[in-house]
Amino acid sequence: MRIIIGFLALIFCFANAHAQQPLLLWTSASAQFKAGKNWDFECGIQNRWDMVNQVVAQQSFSGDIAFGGIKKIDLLANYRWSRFPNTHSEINQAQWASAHRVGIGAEWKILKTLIKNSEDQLNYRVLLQSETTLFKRDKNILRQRLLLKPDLKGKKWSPFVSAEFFYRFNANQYWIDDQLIVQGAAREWRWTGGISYKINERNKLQLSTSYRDFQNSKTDYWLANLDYRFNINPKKKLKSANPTAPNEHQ
Amino acid sequence: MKKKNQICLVAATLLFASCEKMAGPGGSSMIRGFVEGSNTSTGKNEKIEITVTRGIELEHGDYFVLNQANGQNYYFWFNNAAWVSNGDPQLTGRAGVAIDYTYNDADTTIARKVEEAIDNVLSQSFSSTRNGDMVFLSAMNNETIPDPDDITTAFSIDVAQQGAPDFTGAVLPMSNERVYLIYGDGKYYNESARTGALGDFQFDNLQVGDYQVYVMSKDSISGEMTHQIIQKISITAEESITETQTFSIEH
Repeated sequence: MRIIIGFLALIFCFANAHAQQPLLLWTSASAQFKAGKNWDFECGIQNRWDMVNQVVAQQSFSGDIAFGGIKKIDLLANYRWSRFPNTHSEINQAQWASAHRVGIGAEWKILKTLIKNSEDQLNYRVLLQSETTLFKRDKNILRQRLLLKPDLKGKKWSPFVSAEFFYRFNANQYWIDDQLIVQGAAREWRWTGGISYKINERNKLQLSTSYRDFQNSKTDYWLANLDYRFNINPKKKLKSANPTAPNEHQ
Repeated sequence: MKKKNQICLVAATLLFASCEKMAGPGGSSMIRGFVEGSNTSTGKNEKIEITVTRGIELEHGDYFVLNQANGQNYYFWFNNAAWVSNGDPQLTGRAGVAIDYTYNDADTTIARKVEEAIDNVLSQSFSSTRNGDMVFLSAMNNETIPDPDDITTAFSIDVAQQGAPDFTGAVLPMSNERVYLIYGDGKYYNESARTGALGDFQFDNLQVGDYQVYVMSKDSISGEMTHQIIQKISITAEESITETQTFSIEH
């Protein structure tokens, strides 16, 4: 079963080679640090490259905190600063526009709760995010993700797949006479499959591909994600960190 | 440690300051207004060209007529002293002006005498010039004038330009009129919208800040839509509606 999931993940991973939609490449690097028994910290940088238009789509710096002191539930907090090409440079004569995003959430390790000593992972994560962006409306989003990651005993690599749903509370905004109407709506389904490879205790690589299925007028697209993670204190076992990345490992 | 905290606080402030909202899209406020206008057109002054003949082609008592917008009309009749009878056609409803001539008068002489006669009575209504055997009359005002006529003379009297008065129509809501929005102090418009059926327009999803709204109107001199009517307006709160003053245009 694990081999089948791994095979599917591999297929999914390279499916973008035949994609007709726009294609982005996300590359990231992060450092993880475990403090005490329950606290995990992580900070990282990410670059998003538009392979079709050959331009930087976004660059970001993020920090994450995970607290695992409640049974099989981790509490999460995240901050991200990002910058992207300014489409309204005629207003402020700046090449880049920036955004700030904060998020809180929780992740429940379902299999570890139901099966004692399970190494396989079936995790449900919910995140509440608020982002303020120059020249764009603020976003208030609820994310829900289901991640499946079987453990291949003795193997350095492990596959994973996930499905994530995005709901924006203020998706639509318009005026009727003197009243401002704000409506929420589903924004995106994000399907991800990939492989995590543990180089050694400190270093880990992850390759995945995602398909962003937008529920509005935005064009759907594939993206490939290459992630490098450095574990500062590898002797300590880390909980899940960097919760907002499209891939999930650990 | 205290210094580190201070540095972190400054860094955090700078980070958040870099995302400060400014006038432009991405907000929740609205600017709306109303455009009304009237149809205006600049009139024309009447222009008349009179080509006269030689004196030998005129008969004692021949006459032509010229009119005015105020209804005080004239007939100009030719009086040849060689004839003892009265050549005045004595038209009622018009004032008569006699022009003395002889059969030997050249066409240029006739043209001069015609111009002098017209100038004597109609200098308030027409300005006149002469070139050879042609007399050119140009009305002083933009108004409709009944056409002149050569009646019994062999003159050629043409209306080169028909007179018409200036026109200003009723003030009505302007539908489908384009309205432009400039963010901040910019020179070029960033957004545009068209007025609806009742002349109203709106720009929404705007940030707090200063804006300029303008519409184009007809220029009174050139008659082209080159006159800009602009208003400066400020949005001072989120989720607010800011109204412009009514735009009044000519088209």
